[in-house]
Amino acid sequence: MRSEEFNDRLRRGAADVGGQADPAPAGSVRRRGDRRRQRNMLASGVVAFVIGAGGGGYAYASISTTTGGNPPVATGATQTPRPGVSNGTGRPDIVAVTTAGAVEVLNPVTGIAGTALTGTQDAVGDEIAVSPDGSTAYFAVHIKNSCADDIESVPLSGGTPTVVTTGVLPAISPDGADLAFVREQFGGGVSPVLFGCGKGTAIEVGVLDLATHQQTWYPAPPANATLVSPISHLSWSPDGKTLLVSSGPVQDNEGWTLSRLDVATARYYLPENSAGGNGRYVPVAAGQSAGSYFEEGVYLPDGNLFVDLECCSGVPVKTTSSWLLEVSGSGTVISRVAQGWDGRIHSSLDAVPGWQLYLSGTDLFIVPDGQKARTLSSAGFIAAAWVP
Amino acid sequence: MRDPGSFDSFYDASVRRLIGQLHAMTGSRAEAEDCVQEAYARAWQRWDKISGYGDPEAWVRTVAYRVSISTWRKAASMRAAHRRHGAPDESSGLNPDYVAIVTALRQVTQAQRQAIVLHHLVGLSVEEIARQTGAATGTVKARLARGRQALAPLLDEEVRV
Repeated sequence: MRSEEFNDRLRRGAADVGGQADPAPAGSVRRRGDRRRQRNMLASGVVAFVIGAGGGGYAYASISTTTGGNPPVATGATQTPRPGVSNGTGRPDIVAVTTAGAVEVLNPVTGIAGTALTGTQDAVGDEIAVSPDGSTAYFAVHIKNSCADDIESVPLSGGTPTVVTTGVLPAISPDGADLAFVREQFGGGVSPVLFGCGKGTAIEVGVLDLATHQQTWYPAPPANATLVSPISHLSWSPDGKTLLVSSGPVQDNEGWTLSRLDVATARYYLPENSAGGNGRYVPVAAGQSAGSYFEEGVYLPDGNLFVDLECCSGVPVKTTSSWLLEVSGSGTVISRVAQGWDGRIHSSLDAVPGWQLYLSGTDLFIVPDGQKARTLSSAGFIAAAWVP
Repeated sequence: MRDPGSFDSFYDASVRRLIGQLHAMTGSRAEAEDCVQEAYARAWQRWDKISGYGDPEAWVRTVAYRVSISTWRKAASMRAAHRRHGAPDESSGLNPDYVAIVTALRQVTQAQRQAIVLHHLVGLSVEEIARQTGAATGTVKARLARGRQALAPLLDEEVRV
């Protein structure tokens, strides 16, 4: 290849790449620069909002651009940069969905909302997930005049949310490559209405490869298609091989389960040990109140589980005790993390090394490892998660 | 005072060109777009100063390249390597000759790759590359020569560049 040929091929190829690119509008880039500038000012102390001692060094990742598959769909949601994004507090940030339907970054020391990532009335459901590099939040948005929800993503550094897929309950795998979610679950929330809309077929757990857009489905087993538990939470194991599936009641107090699904081998989302099930229920350890059930659970970074164990009387079920516990995979209680409030739903459990959080009703509680839980904010939330 | 209008004009006129150049340096469309956008955001932060530079595009290109080789980016690339289903098809829609060149460029060192792209794609002289990269002209010459040597067998043809 001659020099001119080499240069020509290189230039034409690079021009092709540029021509095929879909860069963000200039205004969006300027807003990103403005937010960076604002954060730099905050970090340097020009705006005195840094509270508490901390190691600092927390850095926001940059916007990732979606490539391949369907182009991102802009939803028109606006972001409203506000002061108060935490830096240097020694705690990971928190993202939360407010009862008004806004996705916000919270100061982990004060609980005060910092950056609003979406407008209000955008987000639904009780789940929000953050990519392991801390760059992107995933949450569910109701599709107007339909029976379905979309999962959207938004950079934590700000930007326009984009539709990722249709479904609810997003959970990002530890390597950030896969998005687990649930489809055919209508209504959202911790006790979603089943079959109130749509086809009325079985619930499906889906795993979407974010790079290739390939989806793997784990439908309910045929035998249970007419009576399946609504799923209220999904959580990936630290090695990315297993999904912890929290299932709510089918009717009355039946159906509360916590189960582990092997994503590589299972055919169905329910953890049957029969052919194709390939999963296991997490048993409630002996010694707990009769009839206790796991309302929700997530994996801890060490592979144990952080669960809400509730108990129970009456039909429909009434909560008489609630414990946030660390348990082993066999259900053995390792430690009591916090005591929940009777009569409240405890949801949106999440854990990163050294920290756990959960919602009690709409109040946000955080728990430093080995310490007492404390209310971070009572501003009203339906979902929350740590920013890794 | 930062002028949004002049920034927007500069961005619209140059962003695709820079994405193409960064793609040649990084071999990844997503990474190229990501790094270029980050560099433009940083440029807007200081636009009152950068807009007065003789060649603001060179500033953005340099920053985008530095972003691409930063620690965070390397960590992100390592995470990407763990993807179970392989990488997206980065080469779809591109000329096979160009894909072969970019593939070959991935085999040489970062510094050699940067020098080759700046010289053969951007069209900078050795002296200009030295100024932009902060390297001595002799170093740039060496990087170009070694890069060419390395590219020749990788492209399975003689590269007399």
